[in-house]
Amino acid sequence: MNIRTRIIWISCLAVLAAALTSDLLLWLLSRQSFRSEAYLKALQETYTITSQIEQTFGPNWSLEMKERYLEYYFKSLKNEQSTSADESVIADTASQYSWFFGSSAHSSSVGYNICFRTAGDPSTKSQPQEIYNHTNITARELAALDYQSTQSPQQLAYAYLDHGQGRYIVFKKELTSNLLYYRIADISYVKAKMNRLTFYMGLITLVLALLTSAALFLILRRVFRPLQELDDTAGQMAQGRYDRRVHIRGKDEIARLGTSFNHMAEAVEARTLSLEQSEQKKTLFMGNLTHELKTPMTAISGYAQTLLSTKLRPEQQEEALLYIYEECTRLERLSRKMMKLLELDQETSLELTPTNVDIIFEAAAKSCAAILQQKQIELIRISHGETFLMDADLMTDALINLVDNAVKASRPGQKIQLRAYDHCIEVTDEGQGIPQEEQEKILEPFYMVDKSRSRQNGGAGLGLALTALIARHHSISMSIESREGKGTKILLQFR
Amino acid sequence: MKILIIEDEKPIAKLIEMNLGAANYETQIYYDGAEAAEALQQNHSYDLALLDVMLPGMDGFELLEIMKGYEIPVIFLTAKDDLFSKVQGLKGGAEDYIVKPFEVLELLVRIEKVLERSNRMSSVVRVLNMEINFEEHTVRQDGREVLLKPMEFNLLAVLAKNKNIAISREKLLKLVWGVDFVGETRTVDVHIGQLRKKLGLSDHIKTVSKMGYRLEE
Repeated sequence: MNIRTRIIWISCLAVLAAALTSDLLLWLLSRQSFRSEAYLKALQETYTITSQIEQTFGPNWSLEMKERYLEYYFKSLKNEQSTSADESVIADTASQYSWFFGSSAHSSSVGYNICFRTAGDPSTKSQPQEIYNHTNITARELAALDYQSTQSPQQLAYAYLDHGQGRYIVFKKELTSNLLYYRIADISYVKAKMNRLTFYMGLITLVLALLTSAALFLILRRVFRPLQELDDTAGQMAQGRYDRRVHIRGKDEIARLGTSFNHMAEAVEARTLSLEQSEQKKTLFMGNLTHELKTPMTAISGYAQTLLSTKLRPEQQEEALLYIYEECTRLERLSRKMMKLLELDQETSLELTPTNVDIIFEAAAKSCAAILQQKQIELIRISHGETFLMDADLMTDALINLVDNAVKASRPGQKIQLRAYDHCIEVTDEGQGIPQEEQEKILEPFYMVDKSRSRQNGGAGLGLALTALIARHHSISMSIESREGKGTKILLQFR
Repeated sequence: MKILIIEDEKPIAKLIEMNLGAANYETQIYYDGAEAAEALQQNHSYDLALLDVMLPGMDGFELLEIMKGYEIPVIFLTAKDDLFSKVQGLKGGAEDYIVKPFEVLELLVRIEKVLERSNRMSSVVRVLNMEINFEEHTVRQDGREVLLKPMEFNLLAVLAKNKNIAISREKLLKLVWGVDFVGETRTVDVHIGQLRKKLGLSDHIKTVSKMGYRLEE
């Protein structure tokens, strides 16, 4: 069962429970008030009748006169009052009206008057004599009831009587010592009223519950739509579509969840992208490395094979041997640089000591002296005893690589300048420069601007990558300024 | 038979040239793709081109299109051994795709196969005083026909096509008899003996230690 259905069920049950509880309270209160209303009404009627009788009774009236009067009086009352009900059977049929139609016939009570003459002394158990009784209720039945006195000043007592299907309230009054008056009031209409009330309350409760469910259903559908979308989007992301996002509507909790989800998706996308990129870089590096290894290997094994199996002229044999030697040297250089790259890559922190730049300038110049002389390029060193925090050996390597590159880019007779100032070291040449679109790529391992030429010069495309790595370990920012045909300036800026 | 080599690695280009030269092919080397394309406009009478893929100036796939225009069959010779490049090369119309590092003999055999397919291989090869006719399966020495058994003829054909290059007994077994057994090299020795005797080639079919046999001119 999904949450939406569950919420609808729970809410409907809660609404029903609340409605039923209030129904019950209302029902109990109404019954109480209906009952007391009926009781008061009946009491008032009884009171009116008894006071009228008592006022009419003259002080000298004999018992017989009183009886006569009572009979006459009740008869006239009956004629006045009763229009529809036949008093003799009323007790059996009174409540047979269908409560359903809410007939108004029962909204007013019907009363019956009964009068007995008793034998003054209550201890004698002689049968009381009926003066007036048009009901089928006997004196004994009436006497057997459990009476309670009313709070009214008159000496009235009352009791409830269930007779047939009806419910009645009986008032008892001793008019004189041997005249007993009962007033029976039909209060069945209370029950009918209660039934009607129950029906309406039930109906209202039911309709209310249905309306609540419908409203909840609609609201929840709105509320859950973003969740559904979230679910769909998460599913799509799980299948690798990291660019998916959810639409945010409103500012509620679900909207916030959506926002967080989108943030997460962005983080995941960025992370995945960077992983993919680093993976691509690695693959590229490996590919390049393999290529760099394959070419000399092919040459070496090919020449060796040729020397062994092919009939060659002596000068050809010499040429083959020379190529083998050259390619071996190239492999050796490559492996040395690779080792350095790997070493540096694993190095977590370098021991940096304050070093005078003159020392590393001197070392770099010495290393490059041979190629500088070969190409007749002048290396100018400008420094004023600057001292930077560095690993001297590594920085020398970096400078050698930069000078080496500068020499390769320069023509004989040109100058290369090594300059130190403020927090910078600069290597400037007047060579061919680097095309704008290549400037970003030249830091990548194995990248060569002019592949065939740098191969001939013995390069493998690792020098600048190595220099960049050394710079990174020193927290040096390395920038390249170059214009084609005008030369290149590489700036190393210490922090 | 003229073969165009476009390869930016000088050692590799020279290596190929050395071996093709020994096997009597003429060669022309270009180290730059664009340079080669330009030179082809002047002269494009080549029987085959060996192309590297990653070249300065113009890459091998572009050059392939140009070669197709001149109807020069192409064999790619490259360090790129990924499937995509292979498919791209072969689908683009290259006859073969050889990945570096390669064996010299393998290269020669594949060149031969491509030349045969494109009907550029002449049916007659002349070595020393012999004239070997592949169509008629005959060998004439100084104009006189020498009778050879089928396998002897095939063996002579392989040696003649790759003259000056030593071929191992195993390779010969595979190329002539089409079998891969390592232990059966005696068969090769017997047939070599027959060839030497029938054609008087004792001085020219050399036994190169550990490498096999070589027909020298």
